Amino acid sequence: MKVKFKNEGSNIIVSFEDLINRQLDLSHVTDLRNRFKSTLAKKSKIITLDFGAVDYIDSAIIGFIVDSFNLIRNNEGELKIINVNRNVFEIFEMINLTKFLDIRKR
Amino acid sequence: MKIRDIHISLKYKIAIFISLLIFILFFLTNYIILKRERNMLYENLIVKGNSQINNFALYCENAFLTGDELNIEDYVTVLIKAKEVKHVYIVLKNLTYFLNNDQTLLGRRYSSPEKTGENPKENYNIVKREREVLFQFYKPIYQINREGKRVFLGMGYIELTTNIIKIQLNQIKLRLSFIVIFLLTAGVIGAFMLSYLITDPLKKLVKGISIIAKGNLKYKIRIHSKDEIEGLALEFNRMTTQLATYQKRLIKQKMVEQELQIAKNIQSEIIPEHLKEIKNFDLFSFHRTSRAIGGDYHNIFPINKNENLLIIADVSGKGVPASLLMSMFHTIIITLKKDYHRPILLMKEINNIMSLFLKKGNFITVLIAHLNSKTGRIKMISAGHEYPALIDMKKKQFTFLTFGGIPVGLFNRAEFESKLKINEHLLLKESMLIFYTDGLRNIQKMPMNNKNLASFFKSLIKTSGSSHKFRKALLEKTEMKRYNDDITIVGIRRT
Repeated sequence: MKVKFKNEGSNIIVSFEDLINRQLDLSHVTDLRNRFKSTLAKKSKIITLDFGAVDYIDSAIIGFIVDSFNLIRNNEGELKIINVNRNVFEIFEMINLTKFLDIRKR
Repeated sequence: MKIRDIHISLKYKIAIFISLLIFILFFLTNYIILKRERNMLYENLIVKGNSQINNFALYCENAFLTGDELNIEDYVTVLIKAKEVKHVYIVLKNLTYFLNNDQTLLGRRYSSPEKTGENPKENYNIVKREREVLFQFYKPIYQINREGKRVFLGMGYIELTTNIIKIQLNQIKLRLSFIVIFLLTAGVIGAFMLSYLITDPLKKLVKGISIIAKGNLKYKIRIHSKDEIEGLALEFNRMTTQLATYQKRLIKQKMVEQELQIAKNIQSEIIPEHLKEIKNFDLFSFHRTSRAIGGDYHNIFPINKNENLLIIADVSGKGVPASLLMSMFHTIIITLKKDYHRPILLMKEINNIMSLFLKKGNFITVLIAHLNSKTGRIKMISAGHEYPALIDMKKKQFTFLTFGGIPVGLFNRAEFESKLKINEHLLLKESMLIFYTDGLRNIQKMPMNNKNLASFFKSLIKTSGSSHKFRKALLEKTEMKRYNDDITIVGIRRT
């Protein structure tokens, strides 16, 4: 898995590449936590996760996203998820994450 | 053949082989030495014989010249004293002895010895006299007559025995034999030592392997032969270490498996195999974990005669961590019995307590269903759980019951509670409610989204005429799968 961070002013766009079966799951969580550590600690940033390359997620990723969301919120930042496919969007919808985060479909 | 026999025979084989080589070498050397000695001795004898016969002929000639013929006898006496000289004599033209060391033969006819060999180039014959091999040297002897002319008197002979050579050769042979016996003994001992040096590391290796083969993986083969066998032993030791590590890991794994089996037994006490019967409702359930234990939960708690509480939940993740949280969840629910008839309060309490333990993105989706068997009313409240499927077998209709709520442990208390909403539903006769965990979405090749899941339910409704058949088909489809996710299904039908 490759994770790309693109800075555009206060906006940081994060995209994923080389995901096996286009799936983001428990096996990536430790890696993701390490890579996001410094980004999440920044103040007043709008972090956008581009899910263009993600078709499937599991509960561990939901946990990671909400955990990150809570951290960003404490730092007066904002978390957005864009390019979300139908499957993933339905999961976010079912747990009502769509009511807390700006989540946009593909 | 036993391993022991093999290495013993190898040791002897090497020793015998080396000994044989030494034997052959020594015998060849001895043969060469003896041959050389023999030739030398014979050559010496010939040189000696030649010089003696020449001197003798010259002496005789001089003696005749000076008239000291009598001195010739003295000369012969001196000559005969030499060990090797056997006979000294002069034979006249008429073949009678003129002079002989054996005085008795004087004047008699010369008896020629049996000739066994002759060397035409040299002035000697090889003869045999009374079974004794002699070298017969000869030279004509001249006399100076009154006219001062050299006149042939007769033939002078000196016979040298070869027995002395035989004795000398025997002495050499004896000496050589002593040396050979000594060297051979040393050689054989050396051969055995050498074969021991070669086979001892092998013996140690075989012994070590047999000890290891019996199961002692701590045993180390110690060979310091600084050769391929030491290399082999080192490789073998490395292999044994790896085997021991593997064995340890296997034992550990077995222990973990045993512990997991115990955990599974404990978990099976928490999750019922068959749900409690409820009046006017027909219930069924299915529960499988991807590993020995998992994070799916379902249970039914009776409140009073007509009221029951169904709880289905899914802890994020799988295996041991999920199952620990699940056990905790079960304990909390049991302690909150006083709130069973107030589902909203119950859910709030669950969130309050569970949030203390759910860290780092762990969460639980929960669905609580309060069933009234008398009225058929079901009050449901969800914390981000999978939407229940409502199935009307009569009308062959299917609906997802979608309602709010966010999972337990993800957001703060106020946020969690703000999204809680009671959803009340009247379950008609022959209608069915299917509750499940997300494992159901994974029973097909690709995870099913809502649309796929709806199609899945619809096709089941279509193919099965009755609710009984629907339930059978659903469980069959689910049971066929190998689980890479925990899966739970609970069905309620109003009878």
